[in-house]
Amino acid sequence: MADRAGARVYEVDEVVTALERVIAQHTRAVYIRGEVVNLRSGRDGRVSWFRLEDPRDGHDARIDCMAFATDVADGHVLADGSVIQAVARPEFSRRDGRLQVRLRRIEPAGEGEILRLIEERRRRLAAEGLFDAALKRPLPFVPRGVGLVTAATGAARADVLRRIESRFPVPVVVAHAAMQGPACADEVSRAVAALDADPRVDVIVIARGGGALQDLLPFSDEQVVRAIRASGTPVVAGIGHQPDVTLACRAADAMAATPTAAADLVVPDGAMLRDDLAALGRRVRAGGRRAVDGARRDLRMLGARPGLVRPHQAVVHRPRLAVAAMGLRLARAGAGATAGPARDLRDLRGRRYRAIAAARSGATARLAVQSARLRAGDPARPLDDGFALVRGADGGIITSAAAAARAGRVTLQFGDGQVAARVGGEEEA
Amino acid sequence: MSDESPEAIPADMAFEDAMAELEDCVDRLESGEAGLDEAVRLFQRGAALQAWCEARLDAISAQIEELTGAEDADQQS
Repeated sequence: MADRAGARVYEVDEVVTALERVIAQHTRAVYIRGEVVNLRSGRDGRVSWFRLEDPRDGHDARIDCMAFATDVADGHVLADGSVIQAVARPEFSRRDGRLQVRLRRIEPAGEGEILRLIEERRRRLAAEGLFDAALKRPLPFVPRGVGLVTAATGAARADVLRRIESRFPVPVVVAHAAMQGPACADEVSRAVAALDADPRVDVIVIARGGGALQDLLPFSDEQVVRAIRASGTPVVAGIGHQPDVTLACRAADAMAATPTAAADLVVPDGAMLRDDLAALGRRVRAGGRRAVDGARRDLRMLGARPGLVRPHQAVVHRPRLAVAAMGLRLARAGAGATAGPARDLRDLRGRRYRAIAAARSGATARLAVQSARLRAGDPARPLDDGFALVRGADGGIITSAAAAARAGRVTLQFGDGQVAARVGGEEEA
Repeated sequence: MSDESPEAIPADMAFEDAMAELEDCVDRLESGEAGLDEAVRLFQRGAALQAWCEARLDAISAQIEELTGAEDADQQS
């Protein structure tokens, strides 16, 4: 322990230990991006050492790195010249006596490499059936509550909440998660599981605004894909502005191009729904009214038949009488029995009304009563009951005393035939 | 359904099921094929379903709850 000027001399071990402690205490994990240079691996391939250099033109910074093979994203192979992104934590290497960064979660940072990585992973997970259309669950029409996985602050969160509020204000349970960076895949997976376990939540939305391909990479993480498929609650992905890019979108039960569009998927349009409901309500009331009105109209129509209201007026009810008389003549013309055919005709007519009315309103029980009354009020009946049909010389039916007086000679038609008559003693009203 | 009063709607009925049944009521009413008694039943059922759906809509209100399980740090580089 030489001490020339009263100052303390430290052993190497003390200095290294102090450096280790200082670095550990005063640094934290960050995301680092750089180009791999001078890659070397241990004999068993479990550890790699290399330098990361700033790939931007004109920047010549570099740093020593160490990584385990298990920290390299699957499907990705470290290679000299490749640009990677990783979680970096500085440390002092006691053995090598130098500062280095320990890398975790190493992923490609070049766009082509990212896409290739995602595609390889997609193929592998698709082979497992994780993206099968048959697995997609239907979204609830009206969820009791929506679970929202999003960053604690940010436009995506505000967009979704605002949209749900204005469109159909159901309760929302928000689970915060980092939506980019090293913690993203973990936190999103945990948030999905937490919301899946929440009984108030009927549907889960993962919302994140647009971003660089690199930023969205955690949403293609296998952990996130599996968390989405493991959820018993349907999941909607509103991630980035290019649906289809992330594997989370493919694994989700539905996906939307924006967080706002995702909100549209999980809740119905409340105003439209109320309009639909009101319209259906109106149609129910109109339908009910129509059914009752129809039955009432049938009743009124039958009740208004002259023979039913005032039998004697049946005689002056022209069209019906003409038909009745015709039916009568028809019956007469038929050979043999006179009463039979007429009754058959009346029955036939009763049956026809019954059928028409039944078809219209279905009020069959009421109509059975009505058809009995219809038969009682048949205009042919009065002729058998002592009423007569009055015709002029031209065969036209006379419907008033004045017309009869003018005609002078008339024909009276009874149930069984007709007689000629002369009108005398005129009396005007 | 047939034994119960047309106005009885189970509390746990899904909203969309209620809407679908309401549409069905309307269709059958408007087809004119239902008898008077059936029409009256459909009308009562339809009116009850509409009131039930509206009550459900009225009962829904926005509440926002934050879960604080996950670290909420939105790490940005």
